[in-house]
Order: sequence, then C-alpha cells, then structure tokens
Amino acid sequence: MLAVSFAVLLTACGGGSGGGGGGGAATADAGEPVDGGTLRYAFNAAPDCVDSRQRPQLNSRMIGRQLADTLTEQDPETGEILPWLATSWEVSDDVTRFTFHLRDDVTFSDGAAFDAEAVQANFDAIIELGVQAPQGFSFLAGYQETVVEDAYTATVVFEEANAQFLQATATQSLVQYSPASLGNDPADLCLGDFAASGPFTLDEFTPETSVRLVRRDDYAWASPLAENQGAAHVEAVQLDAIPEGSVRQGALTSGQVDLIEAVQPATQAQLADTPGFTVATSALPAIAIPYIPLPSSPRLRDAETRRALSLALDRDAIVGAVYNGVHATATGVLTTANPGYLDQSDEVRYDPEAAAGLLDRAGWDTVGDDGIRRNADGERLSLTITYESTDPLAEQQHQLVQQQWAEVGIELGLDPVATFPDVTIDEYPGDLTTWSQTRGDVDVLRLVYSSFDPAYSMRYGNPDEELNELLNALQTTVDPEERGAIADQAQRLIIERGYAIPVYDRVSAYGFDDGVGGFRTDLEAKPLLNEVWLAP
Amino acid sequence: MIRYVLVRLGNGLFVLWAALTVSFLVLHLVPGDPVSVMLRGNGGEASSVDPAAADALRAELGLDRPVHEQYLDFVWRAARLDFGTSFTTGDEVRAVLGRSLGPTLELAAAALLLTLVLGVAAAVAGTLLPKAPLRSAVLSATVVGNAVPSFWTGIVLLQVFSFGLGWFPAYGAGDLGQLVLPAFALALPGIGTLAQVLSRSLRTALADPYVRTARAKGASRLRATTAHALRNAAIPAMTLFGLMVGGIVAGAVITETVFSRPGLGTLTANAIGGHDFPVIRALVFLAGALYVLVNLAVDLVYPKVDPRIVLRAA
Repeated sequence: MLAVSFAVLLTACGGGSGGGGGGGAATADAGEPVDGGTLRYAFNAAPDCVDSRQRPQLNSRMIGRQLADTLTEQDPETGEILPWLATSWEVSDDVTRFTFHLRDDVTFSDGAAFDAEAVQANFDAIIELGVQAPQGFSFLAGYQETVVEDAYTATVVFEEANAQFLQATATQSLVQYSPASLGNDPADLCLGDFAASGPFTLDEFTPETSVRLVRRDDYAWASPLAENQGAAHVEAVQLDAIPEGSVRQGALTSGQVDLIEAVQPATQAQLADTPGFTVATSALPAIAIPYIPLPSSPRLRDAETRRALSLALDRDAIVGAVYNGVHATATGVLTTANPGYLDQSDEVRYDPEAAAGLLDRAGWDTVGDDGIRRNADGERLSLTITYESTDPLAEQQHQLVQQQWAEVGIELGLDPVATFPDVTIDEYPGDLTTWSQTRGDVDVLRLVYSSFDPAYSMRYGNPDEELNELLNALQTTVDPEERGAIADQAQRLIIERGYAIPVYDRVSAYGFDDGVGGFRTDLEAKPLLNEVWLAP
Repeated sequence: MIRYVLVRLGNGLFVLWAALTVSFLVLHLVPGDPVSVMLRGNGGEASSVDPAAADALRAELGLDRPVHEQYLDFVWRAARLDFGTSFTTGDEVRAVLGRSLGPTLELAAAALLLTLVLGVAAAVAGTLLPKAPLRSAVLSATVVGNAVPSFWTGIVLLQVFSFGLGWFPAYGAGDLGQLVLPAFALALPGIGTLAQVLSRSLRTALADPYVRTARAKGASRLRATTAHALRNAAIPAMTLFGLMVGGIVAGAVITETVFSRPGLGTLTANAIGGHDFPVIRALVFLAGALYVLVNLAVDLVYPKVDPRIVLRAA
C-alpha cells in the first residue's frame, strides 16, 4: 500500500482585536480571481543563478518553475506522476525505454515549437553540461540517447533500468528549454539567457538581489495542479531578497511586500496572530532529518546500540524547544510529505527505559562514576558528532540531544568545524552525522541509505547487501504499488537495523497578506505564481 | 610636492600588493573550497561531495594548478585590473563589481556627509552650548551612538521609521527614500567618534592664547570657535575621517545586509560565503585602493588647513 500525506494549509486569522489600524480583517481571498497588478515577493536568499538545471538550490528551482515547464508534474498530495508537457508515456518492461507523447500546442517564448526534437536536445544538453547540471546529470545516469519517433513522440533510452527517471522528469533539474538556447554559455544561462515555455519570462535579474518576472500572455498549457490554465493572473512579479527574517516579516506586515518565504520559527506564531495575514506551512518531501550512525564508528557497530540512540531521543522536546513547534516530529524514515511515506511511529518513539534495556543487552551494562556506560573492556560509550557550526538551531539541537542521551548513560561530544572536509562518506569524521536530502520520490531512500554513491550514500564502503538489493529493486520497478511495497520494506529495515535516527520533518512556511488569493504550492512547496492574484 | 605624491603612490602600490598577497594566502589557508560550496545544496542539504565531480570542476576553474602558479597568474592579471570571472556565476568580476559599486558609493557618500555635518555640529554644540548639562547631554548622546552596534541600530530604525511610521521603505536601493535609514545607521558610530575627538581638541584650542586675543578684539564666542579654533582643532579629526572611509566600507557589510541593499557589502558577504575567490580578491583590491587614495587626499589637505604643516617625502 502506498501511504500518502500532504501539505497542510494552516490558515490563521487572528481573532479579537476589533478596530485595529488600517484595513482590518479583509476577506479578499474568498473572492473570484482578479487579473492584473504586480506581486511583491520577498526571498530569504535570492538565487545566484536562474538556470535550475545548474543549481540544486530551492531558490533556483523556484524561479525555474515559473520560467520553464517539465514533461510531467507530481501531485503534491498523492505523489502521483501527472501529465504536463507529455500527455502520456509508456515504459518498457525492462525499464530502460521511456516513450513520451507530447502536447502539440506548446511554444517557447522565442517562438520555437516544443516537440520531440526539443526533448532530445534538452536531454543531450544535460549530458553535455555534465557535473555543471549536478542533479539532472545523476538522474540521467546510464543515458544512451533520445530517439525522435515522430514530431511529438520521443523515447529516452538508458543502458540499464532507471525507474526513478519518470519522477525526475517532474523536477526543475530537467526543465525544457528552447533548443536555440541550449548551446548558450553556462554562465549566460545562469543569468537567464534562455527561452522556455513557462507562464513567466525573465524581465530583469540581478544575482543574489532581485528577480523580475513578466507574464506570458499566450500561455495556455499550465500544470495540471493549476486551476488557472491560461495566462498568469498578475502581470508581473517583483522578487527581492530580504535576508533578515525579522525585516522580511516587518516588510510584510507594513505592507511593503505581499508574500514572504521562510517565516522564521521564532516569529511564526506572531504573524499567524496578526489580523489580515496568513501563514501557510507545508512539510517538504525528503528524508526526515536524521542522525545517522556512521558505519565506520567502532562503538556503533551493533544494531541494538544504534536503536537505543533512537529510543533515547525525545523528539517532541527537540521540536518544541529548538524549533518553536514549527517543524514536525519525525514519524518514520521519510517525511509525511514524501511519496511512499510509511508511518513508523511505533518504532520511532521516545522510550528511555527500552533504550536502557537495549544498551544493557548490547554489553554497555556498567555505569561509571561519571554516569556514562561502559562495556566489559571498560570502554566508555562516548560518541562525537562533527558538524558545520553555521546553523545555530542545529547546534542547539545537538546540545539538547547531548542532555537527553546523557540521561541513559551515553556521552555525546560536540565537534563544531567551520567547513567539512571534502571526503567520501566512508571517511566522514566522528560517530554520527546529520543529513538532509530532498526528492519527491522513494528513490531518495536508494540515494541515502544504499552504498552506491560516494557523496550521498551513507553506507558507501560498508554495504548492507540485503538493503542494497531492495533499493536496487526500486530502480527496476515502475508500478507505483509495487514500488511502494518495496519502499515500505526498505524503510522497516532501515529503522530495525538502526541506520537512521529520524528527528524531525522540515516544514517550510510562507506568510502573505489577505489581499493575496490563490496561493498554492507544488510537491516541493514551491509556489505556483501563475495561480496567485491580488485583490484590487 | 610632486615628489611627495609620487613616493606616497609608490607606498600605496606596496600596500595594495601586500593586501592582495595576504588575502590570496588567507583564502588558500581557510578550510573549505569553492567547489564543494558549488556542488552542495544550501539549507543543510546533503553536505558531502563526490570527489570525482569536485576534481572535474576544480580543473575547470584552474584550482588544480600549483599555488605559486595561481598566485603569479593572479598578480599579473591584477596589475592589469583583470580579476577574471566569478566562480559562482561565471560572470566577469568587473561586471559584478560594476553592478554593486553604485549603490554602495551612494550609501557611503550619504553616510560620510551625515557623519561630517552631524559630527561637527555635535562637537561645536557640545563645546558652545551655554549650560554645562546641555553640553554634556549632547556629547553623551554621541557616545550612545558610538556604543550601539550598527546591526541593532538598523533594526530599531526599521521598526520605528519603516514598519511603524511607514516613512521609508525597508529594503532595496535606487531612490532617496531607500537611502535615508541605512545612511543614518551607517553614519551613527562615526558621528559619535568624530564629535568626541573634535570637541576635545576644540576645548584644547579654545584655551590657547590666540583665542583670548580674538575674543579681546571683539569676536563672539561662536566666531572665535568656528573661524579660529575649529581650523586648528580639525587636524586630528581629519586623520580620523580618513580612517573612517575604510570603516564605512566594512560597515556596509552589516548595514547592507540589514537593509537588504545590493552593493559591495552584500557582495562581500555572499562572496565569502561562497568562497568566490576572484570576487573577494577584487573587493580587497578595491578597498585597499580606496584606503590608500583617501588617506593620501587627507594628507594633501593638511597644509591647506594648517599652513605650518609641510609635506616632505620620507
């Protein structure tokens, strides 16, 4: 069975305070969509590059989504792959050939038609870009060629089974550009020197500062998620970077912008209580942010010790104290928003007594004068986490975990560093690490918990063959139900063997004025700006 | 005089070369490199890098060459004001700087003007006001301006004048309204320092016999101060002002971040975050050149203010 979850839309309209200054409690978003106006949007960090093929960062992908379209779309609630520029597709039995039937009414903003040759040129261009298109290039691993079957049918051929490719065609790493743009210099592409088929075109772009988008009046092939299938409601979108969280929120509440991203955990409740403003939150599809015991750690060799770490973790306290209750407590290997999520809250729970029992069984049965457990050899159960000290909240989390684990006799040493060394996973320093990886597909399990990739796979150099076999099966299985069943097994195994200690599900929060209507996000919580309208 | 300027410019070139060399070395010594920053997602996303991919990119950026080779190449290019292309965007560094220079010059000029006008006004008021409590109130106020961190000043100014009263926009650059708050935030510490130093030397100057002579000949207290004493008291303040220009550039990093202004400050912060070596080096060069030129200009003005000062090449 395919377990599913969704973005939660948390609408908060502050009660009480009658007769306050200004407009009061407007109910603009109840009305009909209105055309016109310029939407003012505040970034947390503006992208340095608007070519979403070249950047994995969410801000580049957010702009990429407005400028360009993809072959498929993904339902944010079910994770189902939906038709977009491709109206239908077939996958060969050996999962090496993907045939896409394309829409015939789509044009790029330079006037060129979108067709099978364009699809071919786009996939070839990703291979050409290589590591400069880091995600797309890895999604296309084993790419052989794209065959143009007829004007509007293209078949993408791989050397071996590549089931994750279908979902990859819904990501901004594989957006479709006009073939005439594909040969442009990568640096110029970054600055927006390309034509695509999205609802907006780029009017102005100052890297790391601002982006201005203008709508394409002849746009008529919106994503199946959009209620508005025609041209965008707003004429233009002005996006400016306001990196300071409090300033961003102040700019919103004082009416200087209409919509902000990354509402800070500390001030989110305050904004939700302000009359006339709405906070919309959604969990991001990803692995739940975990602690991962490193396979190289001598003290974390057996599964019982690793599972004890998980049982000794009071996740509710972490989410409440460190993240102001904004993020959600992890209930499994994946976040609730990830397609293929399995509820494992029976295992992923706080139970210090059970943790102590497991530690006793694992041989850490003597508690020294310092309160730390020892084994028969007198070795102390002392662990170290090495982390980049750039994120104060992550550091607070480690400090709280340090206290929680100390209660069951585990010592956690904190080792902050300025920057991680460039090493493959098997040479990672310390006993534990935290990790995050976003992907709207169960393939994220294969990437993170297999031993396949030197940079992304936590068991690289230390394979668990049984788990690898399951994760490999994901690559050869296209049927959503079968894939879900395999993913469920893998997730159970990952928790059972203590390969992941999930902590929390990351939640992103947007804040907007009640004069903003039609706010809607995709699976990765990126807004669909062609849906948004401004009340007059 | 010409010889003096030439020698000073020669010294300036040496200072520039030293600044560039130190920054080159420091950038190569700090942990982390631009390649891993480029290949990693931000926001705490996967923080490991495939060494093979990293090597490929490193070769493309020329970072795989021996350090001394990179250094010589860099100095030779810098001598011709060629700083190459940005690692993160691939854009030409000169174009990147060109985009950021305007807003920062605007901000710096406004802030320096405010510093000068308000600093001198506060010093004169703090010396001349008729009642002692008034005088010390003015000077204490400037100490507060000096003591409060500009980050905090910026936030408070925004809260009151942008979010509260709605007089000025909170972010961006381009028109006059967007300049007022950041210029004040940036100028405030300098106003305090300048007022303190100037009022002290004013007090000393006012005790000199020539002031008594001027007063005896009928000059008012205000006239004796502004026409006679201020000129003599100005030398230390001028030296300070020259140093402040460098401080303004550094202060712009914080002020521009708080006020979300594009400019050299935000560029510096982003370039350091992204280990964008070519951009950082060009910024060091620019700041160094500015510092050298402003201090030279201040020195050249000394004899105009106080004819007893003679410039001589050391």
